[in-house]
Amino acid sequence: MKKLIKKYWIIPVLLTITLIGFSTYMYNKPRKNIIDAGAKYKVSSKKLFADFESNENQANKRYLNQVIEVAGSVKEVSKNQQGDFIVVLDSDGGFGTVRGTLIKNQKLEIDKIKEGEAITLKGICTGMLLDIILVDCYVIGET
Amino acid sequence: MNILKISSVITLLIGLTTSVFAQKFITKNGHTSFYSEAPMENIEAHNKEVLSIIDFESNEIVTTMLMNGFQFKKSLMQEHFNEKYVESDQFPKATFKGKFTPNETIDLSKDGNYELAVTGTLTIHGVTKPIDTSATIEVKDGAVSGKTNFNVKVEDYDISIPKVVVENIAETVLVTSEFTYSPYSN
Repeated sequence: MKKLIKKYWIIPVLLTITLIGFSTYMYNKPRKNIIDAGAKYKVSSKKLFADFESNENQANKRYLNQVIEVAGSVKEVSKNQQGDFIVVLDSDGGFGTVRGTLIKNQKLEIDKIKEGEAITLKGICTGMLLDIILVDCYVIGET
Repeated sequence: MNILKISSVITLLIGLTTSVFAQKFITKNGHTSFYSEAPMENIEAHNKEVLSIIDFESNEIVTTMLMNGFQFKKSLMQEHFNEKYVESDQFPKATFKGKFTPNETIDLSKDGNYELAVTGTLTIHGVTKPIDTSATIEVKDGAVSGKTNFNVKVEDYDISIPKVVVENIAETVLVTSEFTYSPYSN
């Protein structure tokens, strides 16, 4: 028995180290990297807005906290108080739109995005206020 | 005829002045953060898509935000915040509605700083509680910005923190908001 312990003591030690390592990694894991994340749904900005407008609860169940790709025509490009870019997509919803806050590290030549241009945003849907909100957004096809 | 002319000029002038000095201001990208200081670790989260409307005619303010919009550095914390504490699926929004009293009459036509006493209700996690706080308003070049901070007692909003993590999460969190408003037209 003693021999066995002597021989294999390393196994539980290694297991413990792995376990601690893994939990620390999980605990400190940063937020999803949107660029690599797969989109659960691909919709047009018009469809997305219509889904929320017709039944917000249902739309929340479907889209909340999901990575989605939203295609639409650019209504406005601006910056928020922190200097992050905001891309607003038209939705046919009159007052309401789809508003995406872009991630900081996309080296985007924002001047190239023009009003009326068709683009696709990938981001995480956080729900509806006056507009449908997407966070951690990435503009697909632009570098 | 003359009277008609004069009255139409007056209507035009009133129309012009009200559009130049709009009384309602809006932001869709206000910033609200909260900070929890606890023995084990400090936690902070930021929401940069806060909707706020301020009306200087009725001295009213409405602010609403999506709980899922709070972003944490660590993904596990964000998940726990949404799923275990504020239950964002069930209660997706937090809303403040209230009135303010400025320390002096606010003149939107010139630069100035004002102190406001704010009183209203705050709804988080489906629970509505009265709240009193103070805020500052800055008018600069026709633009309006506002700042406030206040403490929220987690327990007041039926948010229960399991004993195991009580060392990690403070009972009271400091909420800070900063809004840069633009004129709002209906």
